[in-house]
Amino acid sequence: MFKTEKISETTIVIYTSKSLDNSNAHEMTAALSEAQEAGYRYIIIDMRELEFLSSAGVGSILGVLGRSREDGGDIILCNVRDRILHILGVLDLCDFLTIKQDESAAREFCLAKDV
Amino acid sequence: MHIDTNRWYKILVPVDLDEGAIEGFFGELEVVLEERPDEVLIDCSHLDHATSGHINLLWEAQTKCDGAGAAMRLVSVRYGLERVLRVLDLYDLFTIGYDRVEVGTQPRQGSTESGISLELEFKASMAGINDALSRFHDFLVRLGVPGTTAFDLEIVFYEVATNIRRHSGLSETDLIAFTATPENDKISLRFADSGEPFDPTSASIDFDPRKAIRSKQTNGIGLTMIQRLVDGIRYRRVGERLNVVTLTKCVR
Repeated sequence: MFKTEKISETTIVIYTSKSLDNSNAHEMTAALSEAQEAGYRYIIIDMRELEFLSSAGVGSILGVLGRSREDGGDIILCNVRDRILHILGVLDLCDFLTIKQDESAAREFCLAKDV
Repeated sequence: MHIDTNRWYKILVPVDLDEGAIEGFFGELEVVLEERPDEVLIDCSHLDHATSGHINLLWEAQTKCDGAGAAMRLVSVRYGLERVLRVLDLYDLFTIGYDRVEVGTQPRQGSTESGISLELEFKASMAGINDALSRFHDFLVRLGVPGTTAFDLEIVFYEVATNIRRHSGLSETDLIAFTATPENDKISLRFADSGEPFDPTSASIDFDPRKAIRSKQTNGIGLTMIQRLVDGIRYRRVGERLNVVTLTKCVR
């Protein structure tokens, strides 16, 4: 289970563990879907702990990102380490994901969008 | 913790050497030596930084093993410990090698023309894959492969192994054979399994991020990652039973 923190009625943060791979990708999908079901339009995924990202981990985010955007929200990644950015870059995903430097920048982004 | 399998045992060296930890380590070693093992593996995987206390502990363990007639081998030795052992001229006094991965695995350290190769056999279970990945990580560290390249190789290892597990129809106890061979400025990874034919080169690498997000894509991403992270990939079906995937990557 991933730790979560409610920021506002529309924004929640999910904190990843050290790896997001075949062992827990389904849990991430479930956590994201649950947050969407609960009405959070903006979901921040804080990756400060993340050291290993497999294709299953990428898929767990891509599989639900569309729904947040269809609902007028977004999934925002923050505190992403270089090696994780590198993997996202290999898939040409960096330009299509919302990635912020840190949690504070991610929160500001959500607040600005939510007014 | 020690693993009792076919007369070999593994004991983890504690990072913090307080009195309790040292007593615990030697207490465990004593129990192990009473079993008259062929070999005792001393797991140094947590020792990124080795202190004189750790060296003393290893030396005392070596003395106890010698006294009991058991071979002792340091495994998962990281650079920090290796450097300290070399500086103190103690490196050659210990046997240092690769770890055993799981019951039934036979990792070997063999010489090639231009360096050292790593050979592993691991179970097609997630535990087997993760354990083998950890050994592969240690191998890359010892080879001095640069960080990003090493990370790419670890991702490739994980994706290929999990793809074999997913598509080959192997059971959790079937084995996957793996060899990593450095050759000049590249490294070659070879996976062999006896599952259903599955050609990872058959998939297209035309991954479209925009389309992937729109279509909520969750599958097929691994093959794209593999193909983009290596410089060469080849698949062969050998006879009726064997899949062989060979991947190469420049490490310069």
